[in-house]
Amino acid sequence: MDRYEKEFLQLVNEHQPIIHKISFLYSTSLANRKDLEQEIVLQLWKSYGSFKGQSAFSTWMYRVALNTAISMTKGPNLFVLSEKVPTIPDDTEFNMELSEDVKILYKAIYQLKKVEKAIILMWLDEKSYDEIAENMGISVKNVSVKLVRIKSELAEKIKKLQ
Amino acid sequence: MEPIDLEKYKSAWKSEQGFSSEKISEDEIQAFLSKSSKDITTLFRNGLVFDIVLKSLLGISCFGLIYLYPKSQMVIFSFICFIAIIAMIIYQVNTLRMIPKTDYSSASIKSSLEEKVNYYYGKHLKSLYVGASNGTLVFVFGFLYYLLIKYGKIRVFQIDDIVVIGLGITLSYVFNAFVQVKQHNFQIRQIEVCLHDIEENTFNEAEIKKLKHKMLRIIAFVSIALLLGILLFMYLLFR
Repeated sequence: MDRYEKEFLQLVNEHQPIIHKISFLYSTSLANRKDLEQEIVLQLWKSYGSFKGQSAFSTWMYRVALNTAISMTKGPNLFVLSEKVPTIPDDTEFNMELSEDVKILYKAIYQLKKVEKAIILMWLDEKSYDEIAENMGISVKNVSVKLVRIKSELAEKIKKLQ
Repeated sequence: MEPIDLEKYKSAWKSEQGFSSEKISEDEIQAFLSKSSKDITTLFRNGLVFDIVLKSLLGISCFGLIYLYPKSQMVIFSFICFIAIIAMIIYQVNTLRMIPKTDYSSASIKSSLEEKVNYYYGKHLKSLYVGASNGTLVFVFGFLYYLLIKYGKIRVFQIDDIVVIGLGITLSYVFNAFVQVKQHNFQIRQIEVCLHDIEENTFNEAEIKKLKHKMLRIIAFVSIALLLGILLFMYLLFR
């Protein structure tokens, strides 16, 4: 293992919660989560050459991980005739010790669209509107409009889950 | 009922220790690095590489046909097939080179999704129709090899033979193209949905509509080319 790889492994190790949060929100099962974690690490490694340290590693990692999660597509299942309606996961599927509030929040976010999940996740992690806009590729105004709508949708879902 | 205090959930999220409790080991991370990516561009790349390898083998097998049946009809037929296969390989290699190499660390989510959708409708979809010719070529070459190895010659076909062969050629192409396009469309649609959710306006949808229109023109063109190819094939076999 060379210095470059060692440095990368150390940085990824330090910032693992970002990978867990994103793969947690974007997966439908534990196996699926492992696949996404693998893909995120792989994409981080591929892009690592372009990390110049101008921004914090966590900011850089956030962008790569979100881009990966949204771009991941699933292949068609030839043995399933109709699309399965996603069900809200139960507590046994978490495989993590989480507080009750986070479990409810997760179940509510789980029902949002991929793009909405990305925006709300960045809001939850205190990213500025500028940062969200830059990561998403939309205007700051658009971010604030979307956030208002997503938050109200999220509140509705939480109310139903309580 | 009281309104939901999202800030309460936000602080619960921020202070959650569960996300740090799970650890991917260094060994696991290292193992991840040697795995192949599941990104849609890898699906595009793998499909094209497979197609190029298969077409190269089919190109080489053209010479086998000449070797087994060194008559002028077969030489002309094999030569035309060889040229067509080379042209298709060049096309696929060019398409392969155009696969977007999006750097997720510098591209916004919107632009990386746009890149994939534009590449798919602008380039990759056409290559799927080129790739679908593999089924037809395997059918035709397999059929000719069978006749030459078993009978040592190709006898003059009756009208019902022509109908059966024509159907085989058409079905092998149509089935292959249908499956390929269906599978790729299924995956690209998931990306289109995300793009639509990001934009929530009509500008880029119009762009996608334009590309879909272009795709229909390509399908018509490929169908005509296929029909002409079948006619030429029949002419060369029975003249």
